[in-house]
Amino acid sequence: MSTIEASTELKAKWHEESAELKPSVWNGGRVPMGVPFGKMMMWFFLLSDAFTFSSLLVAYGYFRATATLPNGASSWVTPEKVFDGIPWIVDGHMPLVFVGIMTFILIFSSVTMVLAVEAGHRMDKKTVVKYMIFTIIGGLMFLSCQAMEWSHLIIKEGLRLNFNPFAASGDPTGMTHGSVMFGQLFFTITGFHGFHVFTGVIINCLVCSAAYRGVFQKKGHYEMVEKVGLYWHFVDLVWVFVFTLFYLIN
Amino acid sequence: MSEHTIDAGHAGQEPDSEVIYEGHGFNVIEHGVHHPHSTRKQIWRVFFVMLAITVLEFFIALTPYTEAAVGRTGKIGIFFLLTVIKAFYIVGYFMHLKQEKMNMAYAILIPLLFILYLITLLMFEGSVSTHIPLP
Repeated sequence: MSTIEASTELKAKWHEESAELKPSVWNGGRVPMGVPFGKMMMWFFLLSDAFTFSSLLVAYGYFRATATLPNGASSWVTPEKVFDGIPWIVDGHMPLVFVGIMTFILIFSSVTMVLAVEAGHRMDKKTVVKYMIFTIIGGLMFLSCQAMEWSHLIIKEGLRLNFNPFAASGDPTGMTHGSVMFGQLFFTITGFHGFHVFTGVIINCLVCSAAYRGVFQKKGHYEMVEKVGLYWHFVDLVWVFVFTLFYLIN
Repeated sequence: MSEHTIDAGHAGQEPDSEVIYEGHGFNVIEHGVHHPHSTRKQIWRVFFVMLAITVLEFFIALTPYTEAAVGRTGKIGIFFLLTVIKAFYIVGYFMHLKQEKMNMAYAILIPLLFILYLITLLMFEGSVSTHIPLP
């Protein structure tokens, strides 16, 4: 008997025996994590993404704390000066209003997403599609707000990766470590977050169209909506931290 | 229910947390499936809690009272505390981590301690670079 035949026979025997076994901890009867494989992997992906974002945000904290002028004062740019007003609409003296609107949009789209997941549990196709469309609209609104903010800072104010027009008074060049790092970290972190929102919107569109076509209804579960929901909530979670670190702390 | 109903570790105690295999995946049957209205109510409750926290953050940021009372460091501490509370609500209720098995929750939450480790390291060792002249 050849080795291949022997192994095939062994395999068949193993399958026969394992079919008779009762489910237990040792033969896969219990699910250690209690979640489907895809959902678990989405969680682990988000964990790795959390590390990426936290290293960016920790770097932000580090550079902000170490930004000093020769006289010992902080050379970090005052965020209130940069985010003062509604880009392209109101010029100045309205700190935090625009970013408040952005935060509200993102939290609200998170709520519509979780409502879509909840409707998926009930196999309610129509409601799933409805709330997914609301979520997509929320994501697009957030991206538009970010486009307004970025274009305003770049075109109108002249914020560059190597120059900051809002530099602290002790830094007339606008090119010290604190001034320059502000722009670099702002564009990197909000850009990376915005890219996540962008991919989230695209994935949401794909899942929404699949839900509309009845793919998940045929499958018998709306697990895919749950997975894309996890991603979307994570994007919201990151924004909560970006909001605190960049806009709130003055 | 399908014939492949398998005990998820709480048989007899919590019939609501049974795992049912369906097709390729399986759904953890949650309390919400039996009471959709209370789940939706809870979602909106969490939303209003988060909205209230955000409004409180705006109040602290835009009025001078908090800084006068607890100083700048205290204000930043309050901001971080409120942010972590918001994160708890998002992860626990929106991402349903509170309804997952403890194995799953620990597998996600324990590695996050490395972030605290990085922050601690930089707080103690980060001052090294302040001696290096930066442009």
